[in-house]
Amino acid sequence: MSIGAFVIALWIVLGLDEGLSGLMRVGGGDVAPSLVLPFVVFIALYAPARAATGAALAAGLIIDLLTIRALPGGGTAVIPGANALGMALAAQVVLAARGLVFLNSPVTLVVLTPVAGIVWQVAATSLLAVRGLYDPMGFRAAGVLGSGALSVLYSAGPALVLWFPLRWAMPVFRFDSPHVARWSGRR
Amino acid sequence: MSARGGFITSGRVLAAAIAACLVCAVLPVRLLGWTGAVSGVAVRLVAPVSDLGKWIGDRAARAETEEHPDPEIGRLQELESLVRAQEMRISELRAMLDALEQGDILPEARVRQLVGRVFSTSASRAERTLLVRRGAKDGVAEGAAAVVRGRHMLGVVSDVNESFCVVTPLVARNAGPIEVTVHPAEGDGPGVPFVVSPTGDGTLRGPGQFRTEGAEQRPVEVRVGDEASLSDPAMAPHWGLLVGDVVEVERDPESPLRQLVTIRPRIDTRNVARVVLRVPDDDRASQ
Repeated sequence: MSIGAFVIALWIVLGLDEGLSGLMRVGGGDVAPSLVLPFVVFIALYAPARAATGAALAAGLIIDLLTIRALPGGGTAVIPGANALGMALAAQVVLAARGLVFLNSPVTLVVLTPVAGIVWQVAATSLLAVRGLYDPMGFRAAGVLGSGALSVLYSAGPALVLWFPLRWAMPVFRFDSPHVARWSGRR
Repeated sequence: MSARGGFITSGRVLAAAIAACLVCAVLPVRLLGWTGAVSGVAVRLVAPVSDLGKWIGDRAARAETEEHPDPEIGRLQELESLVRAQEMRISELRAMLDALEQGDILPEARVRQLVGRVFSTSASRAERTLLVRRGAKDGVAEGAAAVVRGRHMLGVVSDVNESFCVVTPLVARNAGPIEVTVHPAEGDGPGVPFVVSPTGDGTLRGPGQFRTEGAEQRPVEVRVGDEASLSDPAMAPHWGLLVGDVVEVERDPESPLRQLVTIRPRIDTRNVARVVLRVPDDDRASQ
């Protein structure tokens, strides 16, 4: 897989995700779709297993670094790891499922995005909840998990939209897994 | 990375990265001070694209700006805030009269106002912190107030980087309690101080003091629709800024004479394009 293409695509997707989340938010709640999640699922569908895991870890780590948490009593903290590990686990779900699905259909991305997203949210929230036991940071797991689950369900919509440009740009990623040779644009 | 069979393989690098993430995820916050600098680099790298996305999103969603959409109403509200701030200042001065003989009164704090673009919200949907493109090099310091629509207090600067700052909204779950004074929305009337804390659902809630007025000692009671202004002693330069409207009033179960109010800000913290940062100007205050 082309690391350069992945980094540039992740940069664009992250920027759009950050910038457009306010616009795509539903009602007055914290529910907004993630554009990074369908991108990671797309990579996990086509990239070699190890590259897909590394890509998911990197995407999750960037989300961790962009999440600046207000601490009780003032100050802020950046806690790397929870989203990175959650994304890596989500990629494992897609890697396990990709042999059973139609790779050349947008429905696959639409269906797998919420499934992988739930795994991501449960893993990340669990890690943050565990650390809350000895390092309180005002984190309420139930509320975060609830809005997170709705957000990843909502992410199925952007997944459908993202499918077409990602599918069009697939030769740029140079996925070299044997299972995608038919669709990756390589001869 | 070396070829297959070398010590550093892609598999080992991946395993080490996963292990490092796991360690960082469980480290106490006091050992993660270094992550702020790394986060700053990540924010700056993503900023160009997120700025563009936010600019498009703000136009589509008609996000809040630093000024009121109607300049006349904005000016009136600004004057109203000034009047309330002066009322609070007068009552504070009255309280300080007794201490005059024992110490000096500090001169009135001044503020510098800087307009800053909100270029990103926190990547986690559950967090409500905002990143504003004004930082230490512009003179922003922790404790500065972020204001929109001229007089609506959005939050407080909780962290400052060289080129950007982090604003924690008043309604963020981990923002601390603040003191506000609730005034009738229309007409004059005595204010009632309340100490309110964020509930986590975008509102602030807390008990007030028991106040009476007139010779007959009639209790002053607040009503739904009244306005809450900032009157926190720790944020004296920002007194009088509007915090929100009272949406619910009930009796404090622990002390039935006191009221318990729920305040909802008029500004949606997640739909803000630009803010005014009110930075207390120590140099001018000391002159």
